[in-house]
Parts: sequence; structure tokens; C-alpha cells
Amino acid sequence: MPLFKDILNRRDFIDWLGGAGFFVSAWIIGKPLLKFLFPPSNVMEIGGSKIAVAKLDDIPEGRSKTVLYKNVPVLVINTRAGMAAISGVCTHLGCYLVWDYLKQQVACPCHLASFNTKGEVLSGPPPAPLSRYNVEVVNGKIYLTGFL
Amino acid sequence: MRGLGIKALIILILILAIKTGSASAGIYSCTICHSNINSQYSKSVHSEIGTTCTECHGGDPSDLTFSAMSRAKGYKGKISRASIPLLCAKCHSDVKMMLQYREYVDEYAIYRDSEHGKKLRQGDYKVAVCTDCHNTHDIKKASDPNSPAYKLNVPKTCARCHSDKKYMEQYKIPTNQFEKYKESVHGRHVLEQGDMRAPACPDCHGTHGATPPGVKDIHNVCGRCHSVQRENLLRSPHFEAMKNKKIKECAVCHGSHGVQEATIALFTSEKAENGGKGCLGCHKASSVEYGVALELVKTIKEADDAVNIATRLTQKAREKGFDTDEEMNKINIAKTILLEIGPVTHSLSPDIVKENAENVIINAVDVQDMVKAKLVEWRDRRVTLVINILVFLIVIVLLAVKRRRMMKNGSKDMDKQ
Amino acid sequence: MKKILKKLVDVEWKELLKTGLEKRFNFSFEAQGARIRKFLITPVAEQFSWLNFFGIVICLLFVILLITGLSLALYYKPIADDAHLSIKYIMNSIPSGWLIRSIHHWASTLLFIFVFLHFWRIYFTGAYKYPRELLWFIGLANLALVFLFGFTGYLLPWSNNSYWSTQIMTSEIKDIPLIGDYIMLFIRGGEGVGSGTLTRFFVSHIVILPGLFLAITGIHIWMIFRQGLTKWKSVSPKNYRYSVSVMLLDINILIFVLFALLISLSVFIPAGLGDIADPLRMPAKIIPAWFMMPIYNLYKFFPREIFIFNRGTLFAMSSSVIILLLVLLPFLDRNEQYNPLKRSVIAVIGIAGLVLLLFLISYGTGR
Repeated sequence: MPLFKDILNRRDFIDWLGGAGFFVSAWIIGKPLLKFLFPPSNVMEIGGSKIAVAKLDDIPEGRSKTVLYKNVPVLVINTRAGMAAISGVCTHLGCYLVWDYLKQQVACPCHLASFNTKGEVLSGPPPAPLSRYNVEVVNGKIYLTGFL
Repeated sequence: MRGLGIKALIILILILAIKTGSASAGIYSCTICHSNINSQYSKSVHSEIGTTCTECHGGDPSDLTFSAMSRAKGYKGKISRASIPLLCAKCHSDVKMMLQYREYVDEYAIYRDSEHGKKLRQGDYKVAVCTDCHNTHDIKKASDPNSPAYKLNVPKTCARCHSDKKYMEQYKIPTNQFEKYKESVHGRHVLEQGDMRAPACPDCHGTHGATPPGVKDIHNVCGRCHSVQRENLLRSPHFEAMKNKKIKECAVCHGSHGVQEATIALFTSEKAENGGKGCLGCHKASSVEYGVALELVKTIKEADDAVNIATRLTQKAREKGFDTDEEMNKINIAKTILLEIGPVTHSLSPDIVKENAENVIINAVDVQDMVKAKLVEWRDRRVTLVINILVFLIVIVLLAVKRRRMMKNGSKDMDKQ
Repeated sequence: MKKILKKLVDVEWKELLKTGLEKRFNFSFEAQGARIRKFLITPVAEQFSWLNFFGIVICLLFVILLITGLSLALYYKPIADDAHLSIKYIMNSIPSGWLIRSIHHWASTLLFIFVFLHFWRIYFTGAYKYPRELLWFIGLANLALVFLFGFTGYLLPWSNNSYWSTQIMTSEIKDIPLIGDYIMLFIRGGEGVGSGTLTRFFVSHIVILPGLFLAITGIHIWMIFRQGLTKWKSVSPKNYRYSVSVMLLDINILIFVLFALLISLSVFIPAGLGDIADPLRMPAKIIPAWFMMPIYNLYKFFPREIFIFNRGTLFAMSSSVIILLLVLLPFLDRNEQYNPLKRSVIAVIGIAGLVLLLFLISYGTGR
């Protein structure tokens, strides 16, 4: 490592500056690339059609969460009998469904439709039941793996 | 010679009969002269099932002369308006006859008790009878889009009489219903968009039993579709008050025929453009009730603003090239809960409305946070870019300097070799 | 113990390594060093100008594409729906994922631009003439490979637009007479575009095409070294100082300029990703990749039928004629004239072709 006074003349200083510039440039280009190659540990995995959509801690018992699975809203419900996942879009006119915690039913705020956790229509105008998804809970994470 | 003339006439008529269409198999004398009516009739649903002229008009179709239309043969001629309902009911109230077509058989019974039916019995022949809405000879099923009784055509059919000022003068009821309905949210959906889900005249007034709903029944009529609003109205202080004071429930604020989309302005206005009244139309501005209205307005505005800010920020992030699917999902959830706020306000309870608004705001704020993080990253990216470009520029300048030096000195080495 | 340590410290490790390698591989560092130094001060041919850098930029861009592409391939999943989701994952969740992907996208766009520029430079300066006919063929092969790169790469994100534009372009291949059906089946890996197509395109894009490209470009560069640069203009050799080392410095500067350009483009216009591909929903506007627009638009301009020939046959016939003319160009244009200002016929055809190409790229926005 040359001492500063050794490179005080202009030509060597420019060379030293150029060298430093090269190192900085290598760092500028190399750091994002290196960061890219080491995936973060706290991110959800994508494995086949088995996609992690939520953590078990996010959904207490009796509650639900609307997640996006392959760009489609899905209602994931933590029922006493286990996890259920059904389509989050009402089959009547397409409104988003909500989980009625008090009645423990799926409800549509538009025209008072209600469904059970199996997606079957309990009352209201919907003409068809909701599609159901296969749910797996592994290591505290909730995975959806396609239709049931 | 007269006999010859008549024989010639019969042969001529026979030839014509074979050429013209018949209402049923075999020779049908009505259609020889009344061929224009026959061309209308052949398109009707009655002709499809094999009903013939005689079912309604009597007479003898096998008779090729004018005696086919004699009283002796049961000929009724043009049916008078007063007898039309009963004539139609001959078949349409006959259970055995109509069962095969899966048709209702209560139209006549209902019609008798309707305003139209009652007035007809009193001798008023200006009111509507079956043929006014269903046509006479070219009757089609009400589910056929070409029928005047088809849902999307009904408003115009009713308006034929009910918008005619001169015709309706003696009844002293308004004639502006169709005009108002055309501008209303229901009318626009039905007449302009062809939306079958929105109500036309019969959905609120009944079809054959056409009667304006009683004042205390309005919430049940509107509530058939607007069920959440109805549920909330039932537990609000408005319900009892309106029953006691005989106020027209839904119609007093939202109008009836001219109903528009309800906006937040209803709370703070006196008159609404839908023909109804706002809160200030009945309550004084200094009253406790108006204070409740202001509180509701504040809560709704908070929730609405939160969602609008979230939507705007998400749009900004999307324009910068970020993926915004998660945010859009949450915004849709927030909007879904916000959808309920309008119906829930009918309860007039600030607590219930606040609960709804809070759920909206939680989701909207989540979205705002997610997008703000993205926008911060956007700023970081640009800052890093500027720094990187500066470093690159310095290196390029240094390299250019070295290049100039090499070009000047290099020739010495090159000449040497 | 101390004795052994002293022995270890006293040894000259650098010298040991040097002589060790020299003995084992039968060469001398001194001699090789001298050769390299001699090479560095060799003057570059007089006619070397900024026009000659297009080819070099192509190589630089290809290296960048190779590195970014390899990094992306570590996360990409070449299976129908997962492909789209994995790219979303790269853009959103992986640090600098957006940057690597956007650099890959912009580098490929720049590659096409520079390939076009290089092609027109060769055409206008007559660098295809004797004795460089073979170079011309190899260059055309490279051009075809670059198109295939772009074509296969466009499907990989598995977005609705790329799915349907691939569907359209591959079904146009079916119209080629006789062999059209077989070619289409081979390309699609099945009757329609599906996961079979994706696998084929992926393997082509990261194994087959890079291998071919590297081999052919290697031959291309070796030939250039062998045959030298085309003397398309005369330069008076005055105080000539442009040596190889200066050229390397210029390339160095170019690398930095390229990187600056790429990362600026990536930050302000990141690579986009549309909706996931839905074989049941054809979008209203299908926009093929911009470099495919000339072929796509040209196909549309042909009439549906002339006599017994349908559109596909006509297109195949005319493109075969054009390709044949291009390939045989060195044999059709035999004179010794290189200066484009003095070769009016070639220049006119070239400019007309350029204008037509630009028009075809910008015309319309898909079906």
C-alpha cells in the first residue's frame, strides 16, 4: 500500500485514484450480484404449486385472512376442525367475501349471502358454491396446494 | 246463372284458401279474409301451441261463407274491453289446462283486486286490461324480448297510459313517473344498460296486482333487494318514528321513481336531487339528531379518505414499476368492508358505523404502510444510482486522462519496435 | 520446532510457485510476458474507427446477459404457472432481483439494437466482400441466433401477452408448405403452446443457443483476426498511436458507459411483468416482442390468397428469396468498391430496407 507522500505527483495520484475507482466500481457491480445469489431466510418459499400464503400466527382460531393465491383472493379460515381455504369471491356478483366472526360463517356484504366453511351456500342469491383449496400447515407456515 | 256465380265464388275461395296460410291443419276460413291478422297471429305463442281463432272469437271456421260469423255459430266478434279479462281467464285460470305449460293460474284473481281490476268492475274502461300490456293477436311470452311485457320493455308499456297527461287527467295522480324513472339509477340500469337485476315497474308495484305499496310497506318492498339497509333500518329510531308519523320510509329520503345513488351529501342537505329530503329536511341544524348525522359523516369520510389515499399511493407505486398485487388485494378487502358502510348507516348508530370504519381504516393503513415502504425504496434506488453514476463518471474521466497520456507517449514505444 | 518455522519463512513462495508452474507446463513467464507486452503495443489497423466498436459492444452485452441470465436461472422455475410466480418472487422478494432482471431485459434490447447497427455497418462498408464471404455467413447465423434468443426468452416470464404472442407466431409457422406442421410440432413440443413449449424454450435459451452462439462467435472473431479489418476507407498513416492497449482502454471505458446506461435504465424503467398466462382468456391487444414486429407485420401485409398460394406459402416464399439474396450478397456484389458513397445501388437498397424495417417495427400494436 503506497504511502500518500509517495504518490503526491499528479500522474501517480491519478493512477491511484483510478485504482480506487476500479475497486469501488467492482463493489458497486459485485455487491448487488452477491446479495442476489444468497436468498433471504425469512421469505416465503415457492415450491411447485405449493405456495406459502400466511404464517400460522397470523390467523388466530376462529379468525380468517384473505390472501392472494396465484393472483386469486382466497379466504383462509382457522376453524376448530382445522384450516379451511375457499375462494374469496362471491359467486353471485363477484364481491369480496368476509368472515363473520360472531356467526362463524362466510358472508357477502353485498346482498347478505352466507356460506359455510365448505363453501356451500347457506342463504342468499349466490347460484353456486365456492371452490375449495387444499391447505397444509408445515412448520408454522400455511401452504395452499391447488384445488381440493 | 246465380248458382253458377256462387259455385265460381266457392272455387275461387277454395283456390285462395289453399294459397293462404291456415291457422291450423285443414281449411280455416277466417284467415282467407283476415290474412293480415293471421300473419301477426302466426308469430304468437298461442299459435305455437295450436290455439285457434275460435277459442276466443267463436264462429265456424269450416264454413267458407259469411255465415261463419253468425251468432248461431257462437261468433263473438271484436271482444269488448270489459270482457277481455274474463275471456283470457277462461284458459289462464284453468289449472288443468295451464299445468302442461307450467304457467301460473292466479293472474285473474290478482288482477281483480288490483287498482286496474277494481276500476274496471266499476265501469271505467280506460284502465289497462290484458291486451293493453300483452298485445292482442301477436302475444308473446313475457320472457321474449319482443314482448311489451318483457322486463326491459315494461316501463315504456306502463308509460303508454301513465305518462299521458290528458288520458290520466281524471285520476289526479302524477304522470311524471316514467320521466323520473328514466333518470333514476334503477331506470338507467334497466333502460340504458339492459340490466335485468335492477327493478322495473312490476318489481315494486306488482304485475297483475298493480297497486302502489302502502306507506308502511315501503321498507319491505325496497328491502327485497336492499336487505342490509332494511335490517339496519328496523333497529334504528327512524323506524318507529316513521311508522307513527306515517312517513314514507325509504322514499322520503331517497325518492321513489327518481331514486339516485345515495351520496354522503344526503346527510347535510335539505333537499336531494332524487326528489327526496336530506337530514336537514326534517331535523333542525341545531338538533341532537343532526349532531348524529354530522358524526356519521365524519366517520364515513375518514374511512373513505383512508381508502382513497391508499389507492392513490398504490397507483403511484405501480407507475414506478413496482408489483402491487398484494396492495390491490388489501384495498379490495377494505373496499368490501366500506361497501357495508352505506347500508349500516341506516341504523343511525355511530358505534356500529365506527366499528365498520375502523376495519376499513386498518386495512387501508396497512396498504399505505406497504406502499410507503416501496416508495422509500424507490427513493433509495435513485440515490444509489446517482452515487454509482458519479463514481463511474470519475473513473471514466480518469481513464480518458490515462488514454490521452497513452496516446501521447505510446508512439515512442511503437516507433521503437 | 523453531527450525521448521524458520525454514518455512525463509522460502521464497512466489519464486517457488513460478518455477513450479513453468517446469510442469513447459513455458516461461518471461517469454509469455514479453509476447503480451509486444502484442499490447502493436498498432491497430489504420481504418479502425468508432464503427468497429459495435461488434465489441455485442460481445460485452453478451457477457452481461450471460452473467445476469445465469443468476436469474438460479431462481427461475420453468414450469407453466410457477414461472410467472418465480419471476414475481425475483422482482419483489430477492435483494437486487429487480436490478438483475431489469439489466438482463435492457441488455437484451441493447443487444438487438447493436446487432442491427453492426449489420448495417458491415453492409454499408462492404465488409462482406471477398475474401470475407464466410464471415458474412457466420454473421448471418449469429443474427438468426440472436432472434431465437429473443423469441425463446420472451415466453419465459409466462405472462398472458407473451403466451398469446408465442401462440400466434408459432401458428403462423404452420402455414409453411410441406414441413410447416413438423416444424411447429418441434418448436411447440405439443399441439398448442404449453408447459412442453416452456421447457423447450428454456433449454434452448440457456443451453443450446448460448453454446451455439459462443462457438459461432468464437469462429467469427478468429476469422477477423486471421483476415484483418476491411480497408473500406483510406487513412493517411500520420502520427499513428492507436495501439492495442489503447483499444483495451477504450473497451474499458465502454464497459463503464454500458453499465452506467444499463443501471440508469433499470432504475427508471424496470422490467415489467403482465398478468399470468391464461390459456382460456385471449387479451384484446396482443403485442409481440418489438424485434418480432417486422416479421409479424410483414406477415399481415400479405394478401390471404393469390391463385393457389395461401398467405403462409407466400410469406415463406418471399422470405426465402430475401434470405437467399442476403446470403448470396457477397457473390452478387463483387466489385472492389467499399465506400458507400460510391455504391449508389447498394446504398439505396440499404436505406430503403432500413426505412422499411423501422416502419414495420412501429406499425400497429398487435391484433
